[in-house]
Amino acid sequence: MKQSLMEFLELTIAYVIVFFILREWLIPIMQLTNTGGMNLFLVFIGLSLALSLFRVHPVLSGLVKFGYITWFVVFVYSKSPVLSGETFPFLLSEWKGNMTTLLSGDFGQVSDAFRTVLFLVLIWMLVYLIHHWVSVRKNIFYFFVMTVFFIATLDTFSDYDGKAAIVKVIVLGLIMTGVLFVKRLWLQVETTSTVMEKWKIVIPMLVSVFLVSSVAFFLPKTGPTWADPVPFIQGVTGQDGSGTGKKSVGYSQDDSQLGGPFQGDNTLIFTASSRDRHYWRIETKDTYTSKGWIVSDGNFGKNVYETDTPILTSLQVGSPENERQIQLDIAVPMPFLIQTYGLLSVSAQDATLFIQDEQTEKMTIEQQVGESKSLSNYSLSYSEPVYSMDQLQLSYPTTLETLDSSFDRFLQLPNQLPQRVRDLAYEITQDKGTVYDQIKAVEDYFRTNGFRYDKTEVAIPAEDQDYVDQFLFDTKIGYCDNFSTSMIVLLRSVGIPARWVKGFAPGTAGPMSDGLREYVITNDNAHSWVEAYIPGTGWMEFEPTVGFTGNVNIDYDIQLDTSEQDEVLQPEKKPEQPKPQEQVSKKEESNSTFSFDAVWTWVKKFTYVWIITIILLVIGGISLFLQRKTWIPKMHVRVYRKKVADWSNFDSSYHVLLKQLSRIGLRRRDGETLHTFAERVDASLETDEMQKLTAVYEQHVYGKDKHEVDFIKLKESWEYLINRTIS
Amino acid sequence: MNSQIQDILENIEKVMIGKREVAELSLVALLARGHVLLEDVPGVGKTMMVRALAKSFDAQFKRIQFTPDLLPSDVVGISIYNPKTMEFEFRPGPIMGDVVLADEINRTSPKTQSALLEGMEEASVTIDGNTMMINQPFFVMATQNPIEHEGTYPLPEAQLDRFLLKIKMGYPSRGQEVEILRRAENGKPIEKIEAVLTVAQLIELQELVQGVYVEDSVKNYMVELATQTRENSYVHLGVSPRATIALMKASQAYAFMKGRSFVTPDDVQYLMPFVFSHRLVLKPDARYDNVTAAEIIQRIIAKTPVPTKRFAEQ
Repeated sequence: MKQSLMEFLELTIAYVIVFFILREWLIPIMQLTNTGGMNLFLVFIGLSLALSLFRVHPVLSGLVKFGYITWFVVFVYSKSPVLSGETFPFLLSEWKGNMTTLLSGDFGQVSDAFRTVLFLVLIWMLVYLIHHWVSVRKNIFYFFVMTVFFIATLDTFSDYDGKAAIVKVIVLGLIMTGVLFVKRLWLQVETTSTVMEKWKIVIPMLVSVFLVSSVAFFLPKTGPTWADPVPFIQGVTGQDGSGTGKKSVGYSQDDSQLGGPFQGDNTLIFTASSRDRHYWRIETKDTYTSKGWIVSDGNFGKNVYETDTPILTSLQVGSPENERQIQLDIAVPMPFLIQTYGLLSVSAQDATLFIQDEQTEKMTIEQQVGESKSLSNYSLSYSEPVYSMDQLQLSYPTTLETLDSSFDRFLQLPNQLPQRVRDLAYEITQDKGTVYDQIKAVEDYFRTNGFRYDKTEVAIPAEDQDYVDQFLFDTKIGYCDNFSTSMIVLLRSVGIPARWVKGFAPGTAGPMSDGLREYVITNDNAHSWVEAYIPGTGWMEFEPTVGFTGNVNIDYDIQLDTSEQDEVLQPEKKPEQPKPQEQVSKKEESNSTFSFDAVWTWVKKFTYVWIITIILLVIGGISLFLQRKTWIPKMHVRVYRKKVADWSNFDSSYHVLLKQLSRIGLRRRDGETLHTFAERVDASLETDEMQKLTAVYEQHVYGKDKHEVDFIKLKESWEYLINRTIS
Repeated sequence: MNSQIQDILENIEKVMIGKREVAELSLVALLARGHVLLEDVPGVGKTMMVRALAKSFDAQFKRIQFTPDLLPSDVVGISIYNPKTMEFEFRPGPIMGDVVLADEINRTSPKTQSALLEGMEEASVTIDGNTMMINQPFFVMATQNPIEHEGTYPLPEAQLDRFLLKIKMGYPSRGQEVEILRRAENGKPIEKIEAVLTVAQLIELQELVQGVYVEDSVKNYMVELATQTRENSYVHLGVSPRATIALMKASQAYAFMKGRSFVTPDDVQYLMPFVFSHRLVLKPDARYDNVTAAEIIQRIIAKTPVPTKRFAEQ
């Protein structure tokens, strides 16, 4: 009696723990599906657990649960009170209505009441399963693992925050698995145990669970290495959370802390109708903090321009006869101007002022001075600058020394910049004769030294780490900010003035019509690049980011038309390819029908397909391996059925049997003779076929003369044994 | 199981209760033309065992009770002057029997012991310069008190090697002992048993045993087991090749008894403790660690891989 009371108490504890674990299942479901009445569901779980705990007769327990479900539905969904005259007609009409929708296949149209019933039935089944696990199998581990997985998944992919839940579940689950393990142990030992003996095992288990949990809880944890996918999912599904995403691609103001992964975001920013491909320039920054970019202190003026007046920037412009227009349609209102290289003037319909900050060259759009405004469309006049190669080749490094102090801010570097960055800069540029070549050498450095473009695997520098140093020497994986900042730091290290430019990449080009092309610029196109100062030429843009193609026109002074042609041809290319290999391989593809690169490109194109295929193959392989006890013998049975019954086949089939037996745990020990092994096998499989087979095999192996043997009968015995190992 | 063997065993069981294994092993030695050393305290039925065995195939049974003052001539026989014929007449000693029980062999002097053991090995005795052959079948079952008893002359290793098997008798269980009492009530059961085989048939069986097939892989297995005893860290002196031969002969006899025409590793494993344990000389370490020869042999059996394929296929 005392024993059974103890067992009952143990079971009660287990069920209470199960109740709390199930509660953790219920909370996110309720929260995410916007379902109310949590307590009513909890009561149902408790009721079901209690009924199976007290071993109520299944019929009675079923009736009670059925009654509760009915009451639940009527109580929640019927307007009239329970057990009034309206109850039965309500249930009947619900039943009829839902059955009709179900039969007509409109599963989405069933009523809430019916959904609730289904959900309650699901809980009913779940509780039954758990009851089975706890009191029969005495193993809750899989349920525990599934719970953790469930909460972790919801925490990762939904708004639900499972921080507290996961801790609770881990602690409860570990205790539960521990308690059940002790129970299983006890069953194996088959001794009547006193309460004290059990506690001797349970108490250290509890202590270690709490110890482990609390140590784990208080240990410092690193931030997530993966990006939080929630904003991305919201972006994709169109439910754009209002600023819930931590960091998404796009134009942001604050660049003082660079690094970390970026999420794709294809929100349309603006469209541009233009003949040429442009880098959309917004502003520059000059001060590198070893973590990011800020604007230096200092007195700089502001220039005010009206619409259609010539605008002056520090950049080059092309000749007046090449003046062209760009029409911009802004989708996301921005209080600043999107500029382009060779900008001459801006024209907007309304009376608008453009305030140019001399320091950053950012132009804010204002109604009157001090009152910001956004324009939905405006047009830019520009004449693309053409740089003369001859001129560029005259930029000797010595001329840098003659630059005045206004360039100091473009040579600024943080004091704690590691020496190896400077060393690298010298190494890259030392044997270049002109500033331009030095800059190109630095630009090219990124394309040839194993740097990779990636938005997700990007590290954030540690407290004492330099953003550029980390990228150049440790990670070599990054997006535009990494490349552009690193290039600037390298240039400044060898005394070349450089500044950081923010804006947008050219965007996706549409088809050409009337000499114009429509470029679509989304948040994904937000970009940063480099402007460097070349004595004799001035500021010039460079594109260090691998996978991006710069947009500089250089006049090689050989044939004037070439640059013109290039300009026409350029837009036809895809404006932006983050994967340069693709571009290369495409060219190769056209040359030869088959090349490794082409295959590689093809493989890369379907990366996800491959990953999924490989995962499926691996899963398939693992499950085949785990199921080998079952399918291998079946296969052998089929093979040997066809084979001739003779000694050699008997011999090999016997060894197949030995192997199969070892798979199910009946392994012949080294010093064990076949006969003793056969006895053991027969004892554990409850047959005597193995001894029969073995007697014949022994004669075959140790005997001299072969006797006449009934192979058909042996084969039957063999098949019987093989099948016995499967069942 | 071979039917004639079955008959002998049943015959013996009429007298010996619960000693089936001892009877079987004695038969193994007999069929393999070897001799048995029975080690146990007096009164557990050693003599009865041998007598029953001898009676089963109508063989001549002789018994020598070894005492410290026994002389070699008491064993092998002596030439006595016959005044009538005026000639020396040879009086054969007890060793000239078919089945000889040498009781308490370790209580006599080494000189007398060696007289018996020479006869056992050579199946002949030399008296006054004349070598006399001993008739087949010749089967000696020597008994000895456990060595720890006082007043014993332990047999030297070389002598022990001449016994094919060493068997321990052991006490009967309670039920068996009650049964022994019940039978002893109604006179002596040994008087009642009759021969089931002739000596000639026995010799025929001995011939057949020699024809039992031993596969090369099994021979290899025996050699491996013997080698293991030589390499064991507790063993000072491992078994000799003579012991390996003994193991094979005993296995053949045992396989024959079980009605098989070939030896299996089971036979070898079963007989190895009886064939090898008295031939191993253990290091003092074994005694300190409380490890017996039987345990060492069991360990060797457990770790030596059993051949499961023909030698040619390995």
